[in-house]
Amino acid sequence: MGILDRYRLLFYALGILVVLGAWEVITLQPFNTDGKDYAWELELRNTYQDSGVTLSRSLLELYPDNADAIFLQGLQQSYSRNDFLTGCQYYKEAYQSGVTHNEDLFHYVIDCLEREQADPAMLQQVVTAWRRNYPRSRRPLKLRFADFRGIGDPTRVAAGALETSPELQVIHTERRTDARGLIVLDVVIQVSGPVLEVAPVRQLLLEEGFERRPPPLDSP
Amino acid sequence: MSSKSIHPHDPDTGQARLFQIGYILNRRGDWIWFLALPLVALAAALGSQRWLPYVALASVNLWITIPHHFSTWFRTYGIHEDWQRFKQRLIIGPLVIFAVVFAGLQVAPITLLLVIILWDSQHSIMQQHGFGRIYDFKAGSGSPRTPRFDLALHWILFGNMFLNAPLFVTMWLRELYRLNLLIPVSAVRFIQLASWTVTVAYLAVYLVHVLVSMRRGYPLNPIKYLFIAASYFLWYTAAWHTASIMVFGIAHRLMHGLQYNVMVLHYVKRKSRGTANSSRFWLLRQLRAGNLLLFAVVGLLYALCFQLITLAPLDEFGFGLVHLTDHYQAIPEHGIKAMPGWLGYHMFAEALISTVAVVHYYFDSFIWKVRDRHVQEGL
Repeated sequence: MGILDRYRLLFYALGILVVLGAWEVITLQPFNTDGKDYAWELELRNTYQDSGVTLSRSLLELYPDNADAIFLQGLQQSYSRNDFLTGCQYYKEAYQSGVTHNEDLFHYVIDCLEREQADPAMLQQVVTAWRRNYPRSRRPLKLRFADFRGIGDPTRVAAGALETSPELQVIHTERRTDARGLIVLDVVIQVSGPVLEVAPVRQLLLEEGFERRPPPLDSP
Repeated sequence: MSSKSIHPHDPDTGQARLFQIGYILNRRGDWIWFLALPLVALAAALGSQRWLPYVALASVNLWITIPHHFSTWFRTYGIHEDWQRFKQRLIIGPLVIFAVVFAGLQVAPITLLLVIILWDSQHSIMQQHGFGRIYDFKAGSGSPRTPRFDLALHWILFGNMFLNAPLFVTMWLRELYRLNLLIPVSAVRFIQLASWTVTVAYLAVYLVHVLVSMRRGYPLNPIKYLFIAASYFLWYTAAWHTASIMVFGIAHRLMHGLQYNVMVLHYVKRKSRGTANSSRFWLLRQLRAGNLLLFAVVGLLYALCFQLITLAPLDEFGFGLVHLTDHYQAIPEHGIKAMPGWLGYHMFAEALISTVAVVHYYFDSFIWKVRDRHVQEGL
């Protein structure tokens, strides 16, 4: 048996790797190496090149009810309008289908619900599902407040408030402008473990001087 | 294939048989592992999707897929005959593959992922084709051209699923887009239509092949076709039923991994018959003799080592239902903190060490009785 026969399958695999790999090296703009948010990066790149041929459009045309297609449409919409909340209805629709293989989806829905000041029970439901399906996830949770009226650095104060919960670690806090044009303060928390109760965490931060946001305009 | 198995005749009528039943293991074993297992695996996957979190997919990987890799290592490196026959490939192959994977991760990770997806699919096709060949071999069924027709059948049926099922289309289309190979929807639809056309046409061709073979006196093994039908029922249902990778992943891994393990065990058992099983090591002798319990235990220990070496959490053994770190929740009223992940791991390690010590205490409590006549003999 000759060497070509003996290692035939390896040669086939190597051949594909070399040809496609060369293409990848030559043509591909660099992606995030950890693979996080690749869908977002993909949409950005393809939209920038040719908005008519994006993955989201293709998938939506092929499978309009597919959760991944709907999720990508949300990314596309929020990117094209430069407004995160525009994608929320799509993320929620995709989430309703019950798929669990897309962790980004959980994360985006949580972000939407938090920004929209949704019913705490609804937010907790998605957070519980997220931690249950991805107990080892290192994606952070963002809790949004109006401002910090306490004493000292808000990040340190938040870290101190949550130090009794070793599964929570405050990464940083950041001031932003929300969709209504109001200045808000996000507390970014690293979570570990399969369980996370949001309300007690929020309560601890409120007690330390973080201010609750005013209710949304459409609330009763 | 042995020549005596071709053209079997009915002993009473002397006429050629149309059907010739043959099993891989035996009647009962085949019904369990090759015919019913795909259906059970599918039900388990659907149940998992409903009641278990996504991390259950990792658990199935640990309980089934990784031990099935161990079976390959055992067959190749643990059986003297195979080691001698394939020595060069068994040494060079892993070195080349490791180097290529390492380089691929650095230079072209998307291409590497695509190649792994394709190779995984080819591997799945070839395993089911291989079992089909064993069915014909055991029954003495099929014509000399049947292997090629069977192989083409598998490629076309699996390829059709790969090109049409939304689960797969979203996957390969996404990877192609990542590679900046932008395929328009019209092209995808054309490929899919062509794929269905080829599939239907080939099924007709295959049917003609079967009829011609039977007319020429080559019998058919119906169990082989039941097996193929069961396999594709699992794959097609899982791929089309839901967009969830979890359902397909669990169903496929259960079928593929368990059938492979059963086959390796059966193979080593048969091979050990009548051959000298002369290893110095008891464990190797037992494994070569096909000791089922030991095989399962060593496979799981291998998975445990794999998990520890890759620094992956041991929680993944628990289908998302067992959490080592979940035993001690915080009690803020008493100033007691919840158990963090690293402490949970240490607890587990401590429990293992303590268990070994306590088992030693327990055994010593009854094996060293000086009043025992059997013990006295050794003093």
